[in-house]
Amino acid sequence: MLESSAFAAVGLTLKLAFLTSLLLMLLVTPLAWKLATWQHKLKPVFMSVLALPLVLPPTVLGFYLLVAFSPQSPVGEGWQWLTGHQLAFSFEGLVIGSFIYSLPFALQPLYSGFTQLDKRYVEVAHSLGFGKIETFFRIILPLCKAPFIVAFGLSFAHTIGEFGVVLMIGGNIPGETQVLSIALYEHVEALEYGQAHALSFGLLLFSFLLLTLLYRFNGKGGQAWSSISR
Amino acid sequence: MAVGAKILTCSRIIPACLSTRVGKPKVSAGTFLSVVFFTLSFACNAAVSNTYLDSDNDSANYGKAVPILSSPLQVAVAANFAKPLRNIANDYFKKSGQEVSVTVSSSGTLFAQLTHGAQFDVFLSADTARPNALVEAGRVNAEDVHVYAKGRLAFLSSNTTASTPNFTAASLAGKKLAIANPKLAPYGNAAKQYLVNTNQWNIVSPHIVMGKNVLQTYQFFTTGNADYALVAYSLTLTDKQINEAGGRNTSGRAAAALLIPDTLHQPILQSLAVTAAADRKAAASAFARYLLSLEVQENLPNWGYQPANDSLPISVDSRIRENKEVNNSDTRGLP
Repeated sequence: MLESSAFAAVGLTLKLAFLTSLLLMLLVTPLAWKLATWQHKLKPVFMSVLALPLVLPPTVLGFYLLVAFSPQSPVGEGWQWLTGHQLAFSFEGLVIGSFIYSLPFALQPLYSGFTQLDKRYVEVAHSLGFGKIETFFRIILPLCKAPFIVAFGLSFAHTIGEFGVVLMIGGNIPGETQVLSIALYEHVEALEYGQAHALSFGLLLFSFLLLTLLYRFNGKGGQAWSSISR
Repeated sequence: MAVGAKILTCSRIIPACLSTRVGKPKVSAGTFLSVVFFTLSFACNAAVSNTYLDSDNDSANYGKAVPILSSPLQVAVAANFAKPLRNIANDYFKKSGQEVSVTVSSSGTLFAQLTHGAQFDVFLSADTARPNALVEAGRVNAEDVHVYAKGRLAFLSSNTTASTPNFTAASLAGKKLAIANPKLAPYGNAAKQYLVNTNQWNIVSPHIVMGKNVLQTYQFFTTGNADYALVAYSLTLTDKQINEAGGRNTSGRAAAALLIPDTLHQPILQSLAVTAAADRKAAASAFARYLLSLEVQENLPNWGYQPANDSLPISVDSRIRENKEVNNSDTRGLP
C-alpha cells in the first residue's frame, strides 16, 4: 500500500530524529548544568534566547536558517570551506536546523532536573575524591534519569513532527531531505488522501506509543526521584 | 486609495475566522460576532466608498448592475497571482465600491479548505485541475469556471551572462536547480516538461531541489542557496529589485532572468471558480467578469502573464520587445 519512497522517508526521519536528539544530549547537558548553577543578572536574557525557537514560527526560523546557510553568508561559506559542499538541501543542514528547533525541548527538562538536584550529593562525591566525569556518571546521571529520558524523548518526538524548518531548508530531495512530514504534506497537497491517511496513521501511532512510554518513565522516575531526595 | 488599502489589510483577518469555521456547525457564536463586527465596520466605511463612486462615475459600470455586499468579497488566490490580484482588487474597489478581501495560499490548501466548507466567493487557482475538480464534486457549475490567465516560465541564473539553459553534468557539478514540486505546482510541472522536452531531465534531476510552490522555489534562488531556478516569470517581474537595480535580485546577487518559449511546455492555464453562496453569487460573478474583461486582461503581460484569450494580440514576449529597458537580461535568448 505504501510506496517505497514512504519507507525511505520514515527511515530518514528516524535517523534525523535520533542524530538530533543524540547531539542535543551531548551538547545541551553541559549547558544545562552550567545554567543550573550560574547566577548572573543577565541569566534571564540568556535563558530567553535559548527558548526563542519555541516562539518563532518554524517557517520563519527556517527562512533565517536558509539565509544563514547561503554560500554568501559567513556560516554557509565556512561550511563550504570545511566540507566542500553546501549546507542547504543537505542532511547535515537538516540536523543543524532540527538541533536549533528542538533545543528548548532538551534544555528545559534537563535544566529543571539539575536545579532540583540536591547539590550536597555532588559535594559529597567531590569530597570523597570523585572526579567530574565520575561524579556525572555515578551520581548525576542515576539521580536525573527521568529528566534525561524526557529530554531525549521530547527532542526525538519534536524532531519527528518537524515540518516548517525542513520545508524551508530541505528542498524535498528523496532519500536526502524528504522526511516523513514533507512526504505527508506532498500527498495531502496532491490530493492523494489514501497515502496521506496511511502515513498519518503510522506517524500518530508511533508518536502515541513513544509518548506513552515517555510518560510512563516520567511517572516512575518522578516517584523514584522524590523517594531519593527526601 | 489609501482607505481602500487599509480596509483590505483589515479584512485579511477574516481568513482566521474562516479557518476556525471549517467543519463546525453552521452558526457559532464566533461566526455570529465576526459577522456583526464586519457588518458594523463596513457600514462605517460605506460613506468613504460612496465618495469613490462619485469621483469615478465614468468607469463605475461594474458595480452598478450588482448589489454591493456589506461584507467584503472573499477571494482566495494561489500564491503566484497574489500581487496582480491585490492590485486588480484595489482597482475594482475604486470602480465599484465593492471591498475585496484576498486570502493567499497554495491552490491545494485552498482547494482542501473549499471542499471542507470554507466560504470563499471566488477561487483563483494556479491550475485548471482543481477548479474542474470542484465542478466534478458538484460544488460549482461548469459555467462558473473560467481560465483567467496563462503563466509563463522563466529561467533564473546566478550567472548574469547565462543564456538559454543548456546543462551538462560538468556545468552542474556542485550546483542546484530549484523547481517547484511538479506534483503540486503547475509551474513545477511545466518546468519538468521543459527539461524533459529539451532532453535535460536526466542530467538535471540529481541536482534538483523542490519548493512546495513557486514562491518558495524563488526564495531558494534569491537567498543564494540554489544557483539556478525555473519559476513563474511574473515573480521575476514583480521583484522590484531585479528591475530597478538592473539584473540584481533581492539579495543583491547578480542574476539574470530568461523567458522560456511557451512552445517547450504545455500551457500553464490558471482557472478561477465562482464558489459563492447563492446570496453572494451576483457580486462574485461580477468580480470574475471584471477579471476577464479586456481592461484587466490586456494588462496581464505587465504582470508576466498572457491573457486567457488568445485573440488578444498582446503577449509577454511582445511586451518585452517593446520595453527592452524593463529588464535587459530578459531579452537574451529569445527568438
